[in-house]
Amino acid sequence: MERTDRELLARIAAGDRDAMQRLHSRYGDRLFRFAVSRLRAHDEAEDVVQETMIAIWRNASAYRSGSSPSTWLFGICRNKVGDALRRRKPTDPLPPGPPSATDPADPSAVEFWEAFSRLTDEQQELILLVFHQGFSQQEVAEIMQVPVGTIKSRTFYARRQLQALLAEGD
Amino acid sequence: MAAGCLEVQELIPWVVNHSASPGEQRSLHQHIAACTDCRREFVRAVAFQRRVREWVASLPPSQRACPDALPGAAREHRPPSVQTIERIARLLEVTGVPLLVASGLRLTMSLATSRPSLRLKLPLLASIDAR
Repeated sequence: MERTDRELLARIAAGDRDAMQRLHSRYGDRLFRFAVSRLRAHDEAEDVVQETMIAIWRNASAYRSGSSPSTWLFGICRNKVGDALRRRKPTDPLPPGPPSATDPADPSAVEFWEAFSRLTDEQQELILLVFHQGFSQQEVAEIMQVPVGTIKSRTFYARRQLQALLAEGD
Repeated sequence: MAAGCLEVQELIPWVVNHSASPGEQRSLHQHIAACTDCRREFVRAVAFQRRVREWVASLPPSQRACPDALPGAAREHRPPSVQTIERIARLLEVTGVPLLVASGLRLTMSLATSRPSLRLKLPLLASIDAR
């Protein structure tokens, strides 16, 4: 029988490593795509997912059923991405451009990621959480810890901004 | 932008990603049936989401499995508050109880010597005083 995410988290809180493997197989790739889109460095994103998984393992007992499990997981991953960005040396910022593993022979992919990387950190998060991950207004508000009304207006401007940047390149 | 258009356009992302409530979806579709600007915006948002999903999906997948070296389970998964309470209880066992008894006695003695009026009310103080 397929366990729900909540059941998996309860089992992880009790120290069940198989439940941890299952949660990873459900969410590992989603979390990775979020992390690599933000960090644009494949290995660093892999590290962030591992750190996220270890944090889940350690803190599963702190999960409260008021929020959805996916919201909780992405909240942790978002914080780990923030930590990774802060660890980067100020003298060594990543220049605007596509993630390291993007096919350089695909000009439209390069164009998309260049435009995306020119958004602010918060705009990038909103685009990924809403348009790629498909989270609801309430869920995005929980992940980013800002009111729903703010999420709605900021998502509106983030999309406008990215569409304008992509139109510049067309 | 006409009245109500901004509200509708702020709602578009969640109708496009299918997480809006049925009521929100209905009101958006009613609005765009009559509003050309918002209908165009809706069509652009659908294409935009497709593009975002395509490019994120085109990135190579994660190569790593779930971390093998997960920290040991038994102790780490007990709520921290329980661990803290246990530590305090152990500490009290060793040092706290004798300390409490000693300080209680000291307090009683000092009351007996400094507040003679209390001797009448508290027989214990009176007996200490008598000694």
